Amino acid sequence: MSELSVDSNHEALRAIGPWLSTVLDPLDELTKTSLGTRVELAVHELATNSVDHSNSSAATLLLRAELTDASLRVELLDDGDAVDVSSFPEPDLDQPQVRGYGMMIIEQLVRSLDYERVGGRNRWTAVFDVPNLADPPAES
Amino acid sequence: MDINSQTHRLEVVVIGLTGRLDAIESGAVRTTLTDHTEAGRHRLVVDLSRIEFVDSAGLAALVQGMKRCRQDGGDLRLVTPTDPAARRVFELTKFDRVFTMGDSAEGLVSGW
Repeated sequence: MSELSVDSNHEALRAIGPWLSTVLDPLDELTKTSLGTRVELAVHELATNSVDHSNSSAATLLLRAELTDASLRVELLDDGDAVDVSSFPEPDLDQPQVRGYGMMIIEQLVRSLDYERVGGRNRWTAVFDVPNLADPPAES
Repeated sequence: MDINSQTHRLEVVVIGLTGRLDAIESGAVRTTLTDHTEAGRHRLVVDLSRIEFVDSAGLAALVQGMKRCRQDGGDLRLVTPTDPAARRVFELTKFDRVFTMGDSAEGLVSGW
């Protein structure tokens, strides 16, 4: 289990990409690159939501990641206000709007996404499939 | 009868961006786009070819600029990011179908 603690502001979120890169170090380079860009975008959007929606500007965000053979599990905890998940707007692509695409992006990048309010903190858990891109294709 | 021919040249502004287009940088991009539209320049090309990362806040700045340009009879067109990670946001949100996108600023300008 790897952990990262960052201040709840946009500038601090730039530490997430390099941290995730070290989390994915055990993977072969092809898989790491392919998965890394997906995971960075999804986790970055989750953390941005925390900064923007939970009124936790004086707080910190705690990220935890666990990599197994088949999946990567990332938890994001913040001690901001409780999140009303139903308040996230549903984008209508026929009427392009200026905001509201973060959750849409996340949901397309993860295998699963869960939200809980635990012990006065918001906890988001995102799980990603880890493809084994280094395997040679089976001979036919 | 007088025949009076005039040649008008369309003014197109090309704005090149590098690095990350995220929540931190999107404010400056928004300001730049607003400055152009308020000055009556509503044919804009934003060159994203050297952008490494785009998030939903960066996308929002571009969408806002595009809407303003189209309301004024113009458009905001994009040079497609060469980095697959930066392209992904447009594909996931399907904004690659909403924006006019191309491989070069020259191509987008000459297509106007």
